[in-house]
Amino acid sequence: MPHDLAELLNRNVRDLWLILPEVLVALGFVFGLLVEMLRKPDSLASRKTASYILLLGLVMGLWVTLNEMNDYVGSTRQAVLIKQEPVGVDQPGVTVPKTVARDVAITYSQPLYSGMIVRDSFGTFFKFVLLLGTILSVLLALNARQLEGPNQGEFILLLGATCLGGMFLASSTNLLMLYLSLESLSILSYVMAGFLPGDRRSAEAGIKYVMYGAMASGIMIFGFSYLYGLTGTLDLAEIAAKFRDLEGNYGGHTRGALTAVLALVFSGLLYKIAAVPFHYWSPDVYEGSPTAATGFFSVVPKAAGFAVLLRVLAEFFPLGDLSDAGLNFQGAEKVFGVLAVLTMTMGNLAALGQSNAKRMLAYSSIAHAGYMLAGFAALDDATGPAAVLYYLVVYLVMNLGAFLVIVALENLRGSAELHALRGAIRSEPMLGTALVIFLFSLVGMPPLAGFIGKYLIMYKLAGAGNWGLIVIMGVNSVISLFYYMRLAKAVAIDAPEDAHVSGEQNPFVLRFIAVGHVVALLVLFVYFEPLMRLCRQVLEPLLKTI
Amino acid sequence: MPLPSALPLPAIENLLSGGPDNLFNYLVLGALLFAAGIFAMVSRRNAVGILMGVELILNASGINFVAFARFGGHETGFHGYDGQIFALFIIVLAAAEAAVALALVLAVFQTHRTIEMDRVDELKM
Repeated sequence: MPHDLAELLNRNVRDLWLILPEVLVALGFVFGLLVEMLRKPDSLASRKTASYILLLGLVMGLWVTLNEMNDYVGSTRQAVLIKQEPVGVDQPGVTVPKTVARDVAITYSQPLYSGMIVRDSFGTFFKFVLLLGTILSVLLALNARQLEGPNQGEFILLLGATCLGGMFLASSTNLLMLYLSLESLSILSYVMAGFLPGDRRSAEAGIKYVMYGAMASGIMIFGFSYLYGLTGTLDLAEIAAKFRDLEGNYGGHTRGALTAVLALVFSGLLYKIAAVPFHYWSPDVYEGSPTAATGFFSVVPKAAGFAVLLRVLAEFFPLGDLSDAGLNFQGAEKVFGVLAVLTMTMGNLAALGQSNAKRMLAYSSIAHAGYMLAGFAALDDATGPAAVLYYLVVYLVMNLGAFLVIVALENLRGSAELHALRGAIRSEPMLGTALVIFLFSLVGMPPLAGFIGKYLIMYKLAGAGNWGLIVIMGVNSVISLFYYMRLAKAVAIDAPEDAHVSGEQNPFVLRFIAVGHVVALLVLFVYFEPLMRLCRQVLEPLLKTI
Repeated sequence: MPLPSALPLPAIENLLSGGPDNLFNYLVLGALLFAAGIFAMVSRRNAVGILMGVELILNASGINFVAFARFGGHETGFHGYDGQIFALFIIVLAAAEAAVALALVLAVFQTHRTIEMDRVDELKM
């Protein structure tokens, strides 16, 4: 650690190049905010300028992450070549170390800012996912009639700032950074949930979100304070190492305390992904928030939550390490299995009786978090978490697609109640058809990527011999068919409530994006192999041999 | 078997004779504040009351952090300043969170004319 302050400052400035995606998003946000503040309040022309500036920053960030990802994948290929070099073949007793490939990949995990964040392929992958979800949400918010008004620009800037919090969350390796980025993700989400002025439901959604969220983060912080007290450090890797020492040296004495502390911490993280004991907020918040925000909440904070959950999990329960070195490994698998079953079953059963499309999709997103948690029920190697990453990408595409259509139909009908959406396919044939396709993918029907997502998780579970969980996942998919098809029937088959046809049309760009989502789902079905391989490669930095 | 040096819990006789300035007392204070905060959050119906519960929880964590930072043995690699810095950040973020939460309370009052949380329940299945 450099003691020279000037050198430290120099290095911090230099390191800004290494977090270029974050810097670009932050610049887009700051300049957008300046433009938004300085524009004339009643000029229509400049109303969307701030949003386009932010969008520019987000797209440039996405481009940079894509390039970085390309570098990482290239480095992993090189690593494989090193591994295959026949160094010690003809010398008996000298074998090529198995870990060569892995070590080369790990050198790409680079701690920055005194170990606050790390720059690695895992973080870059999640930054890509978060940026993609945010860009699509921004496009959604730009075209949502619900948000039109003098404050639309502010709302869209909030989307960008929230994404920035998520990006730091995905790469944080220190409890302090984890807390700060989680809170910046959460606090801005509260604002977005309660954004519609004078709207009773939006205000209620906002206040409920802030109450439950503050409670969850308070409990998590209390857990952090004990983590710090037990280990004397805030660095995740050091904490995990000290935990293993404590467990090894004092055995049963400390196990109770360690488990209690971990339970406190994980309850805060599970809240972010709305897993079952901590899901109460999500249906109310999703229903009351502006629809564009609901789409965003169902994807971006959830993806960030999964990123940090996976990072913390990989520190405490080393993936691919079945020995006793890990902390009660099988126990964690069982806990996640039970959580997955509860989450998916609760979400699907509660979704059956819903009459509001947004609330239905809220419960459906709880159920999907359950499917993804099922991937954590088999931690003996990285295949389960890799399947979760794949599912997360597919879920982003299909769920944001569904919300895109809901926003478009809400623009025409003024409500997301099922009876208001009846027969909407007649006024929006293309978007209606796309919605049916998205719903089929959410069920997990074969010609679409949702099927591959579920298949990969089930395949892994079958390999681990966890047949009970597979059966429960299958039964849940059948249950989910009922309510998804209710929504599809309302939109595609039922007759409209009244003959009144509004002459208004949705902007062309919404149709264009919806087609993009459909194509992505088909492509990810046929060519799932490259993405799956990528998901496995980005997990490399988390695979540590202890 | 000695306890780890990162955990300087005093023996019970030291606890009684050593005066109020030891880690155990601060941890008890933190735990009591935490419990009071949770109790306030689940029992209060008034939105501002619930927010006060949140503040109690956050301050309980802050006290824990500072106490651990002060009593942790530096010779065992205990990063003392980390805890104090964390406590500062908790205070900052508690203020930010309270600002947003109070703004939302105001929005709820404008639309519902009440901040009793059990009367703000339009969103139900």
